[in-house]
Amino acid sequence: MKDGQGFRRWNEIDDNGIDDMTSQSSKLLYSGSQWDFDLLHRVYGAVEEIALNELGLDVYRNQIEVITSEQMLDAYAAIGMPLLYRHWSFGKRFAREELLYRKGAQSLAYELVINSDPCVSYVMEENTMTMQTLVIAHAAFGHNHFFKNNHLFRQWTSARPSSR
Amino acid sequence: MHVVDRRQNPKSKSLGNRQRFLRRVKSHMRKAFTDSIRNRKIADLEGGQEVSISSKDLHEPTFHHDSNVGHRDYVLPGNHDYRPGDVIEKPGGGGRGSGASGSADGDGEDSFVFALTSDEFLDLFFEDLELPNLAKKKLKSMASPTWVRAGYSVDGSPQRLNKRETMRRSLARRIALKRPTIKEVQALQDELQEAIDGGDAEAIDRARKRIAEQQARMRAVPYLETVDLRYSRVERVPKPTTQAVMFCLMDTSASMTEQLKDLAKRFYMLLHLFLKRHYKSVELVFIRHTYTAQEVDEETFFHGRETGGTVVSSALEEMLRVVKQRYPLDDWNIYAAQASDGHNFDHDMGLTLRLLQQQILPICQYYAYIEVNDDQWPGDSVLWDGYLNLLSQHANFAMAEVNQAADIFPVFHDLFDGGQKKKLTTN
Repeated sequence: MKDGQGFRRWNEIDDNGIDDMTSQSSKLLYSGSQWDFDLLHRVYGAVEEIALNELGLDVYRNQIEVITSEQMLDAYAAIGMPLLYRHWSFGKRFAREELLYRKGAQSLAYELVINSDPCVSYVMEENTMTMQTLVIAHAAFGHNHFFKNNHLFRQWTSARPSSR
Repeated sequence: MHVVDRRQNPKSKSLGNRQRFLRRVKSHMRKAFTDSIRNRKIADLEGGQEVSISSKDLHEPTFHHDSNVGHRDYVLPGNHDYRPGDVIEKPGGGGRGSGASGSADGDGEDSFVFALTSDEFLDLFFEDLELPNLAKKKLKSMASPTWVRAGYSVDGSPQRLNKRETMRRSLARRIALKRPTIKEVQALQDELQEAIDGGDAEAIDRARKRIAEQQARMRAVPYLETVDLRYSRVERVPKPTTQAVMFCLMDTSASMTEQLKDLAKRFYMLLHLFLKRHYKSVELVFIRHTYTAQEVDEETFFHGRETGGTVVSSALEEMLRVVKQRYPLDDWNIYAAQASDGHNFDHDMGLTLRLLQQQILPICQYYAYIEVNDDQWPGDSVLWDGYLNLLSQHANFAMAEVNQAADIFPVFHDLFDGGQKKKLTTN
């Protein structure tokens, strides 16, 4: 996004009639810290544009999931696994993380991304729009590209660079 | 791209894990809890509680390399003592063991601190408390039935299909009727292919025949049949509950200072909370008295500001009236808790004791007297002295003294301690 090309391209698409919500601020993808689903799509489009066309990243399909902080704590306790067997030690971890979080001793991770196809990235509802944008750029494209192209992941995942 | 809103998903996925964890540390929790309970206020019950327990038993064993043996290469950043290429001695000699090593994940801590929700806290607090002598006088008709599992049945609704039991029967039937597995058929087909390749006409014929035989058997014996199906069965079982009523008698006379009333109210709040949580069908009757007594609702009982002289017998008479009117003795277990500062008009003591001894105590399962007092010398109040005689004569009578808010928890615990009635003369 550094040279603003992404914005420009996106604006062109905008002019072609894909929902232009704020025509007066059409230079910006968003303003303020509030996010909503439309904005997520909009930002995703802009980030995708840069990631694929400019940087030439090769990624799995993306799935972005919106979760609450409690669900993030759940994920913490389960070491990021969407499903795990039941065990007291996860309860212990949850209790520890929860207390630290509630007391403000630690904040939660901004991103949690799962190496799968489609690549699942979690965004937290408490985060600002800028944070969501960073998570999308970093996790949904950065990590995702790494997952798909890393040689070592070939052993256990379906990591295969697309032939170019 | 796909955006999924997961916020609607059921919350606290890790609740099961949390319960496992709490079960595991229960004994520690109880200990930490009793240590700190004396310092707590009732208001603390509202919010969650922080519990600190020793992390010793929460240790999770891990496998890791022994740092004392083996050959190891590290890339280290170096400092003014070491230069590239230096070889660093292994720390210590043999037999050092892992004596005072920190926790495996690096953050050594003496105790593990976590927060209990107020529900969990109350569960723990009321854990071994119960109403003493709760005889099952009559099963309440409004008892709600519960569903319990009751084995398996051969029919039922599809969502009750028990896959494990069904497959178990399917497997047994397939073995008994010698249904060939796909693998076996495949093996025969390989055999046939081999025979064809070998050009042995007789073997081809034999293999073809066997394959046809097995395939026919496979068709005749289905993989899954209606006779295999098993459904989980549930039954309605009526859940018996016992009818009990708790009378809360509180002195609100002028001699009760604001602070004493507050102590008494705190005790009743605790009692109220306890009964509401553990005995769904226990009814509560609130009676407050000055020189006259009156039955009031919960709101007035806890927040009312009425005041006046003191005649204890008026409350007992009111209680008897309510019992006669609404709670037939054959059907109800009757409990009473009386809180007072111990003052009573002298001429009323005879009547009070008579009422208690002859009418109230015989019909009560349990009668607890709590004296709220701001002085340090118990036993010099009129009621306390009068009630001391009852203590030896009636097993269902108990008395205790509360001097400050911190006493309430322990006194409450002692009064309702798992049916083991304790008589406290002083504490």
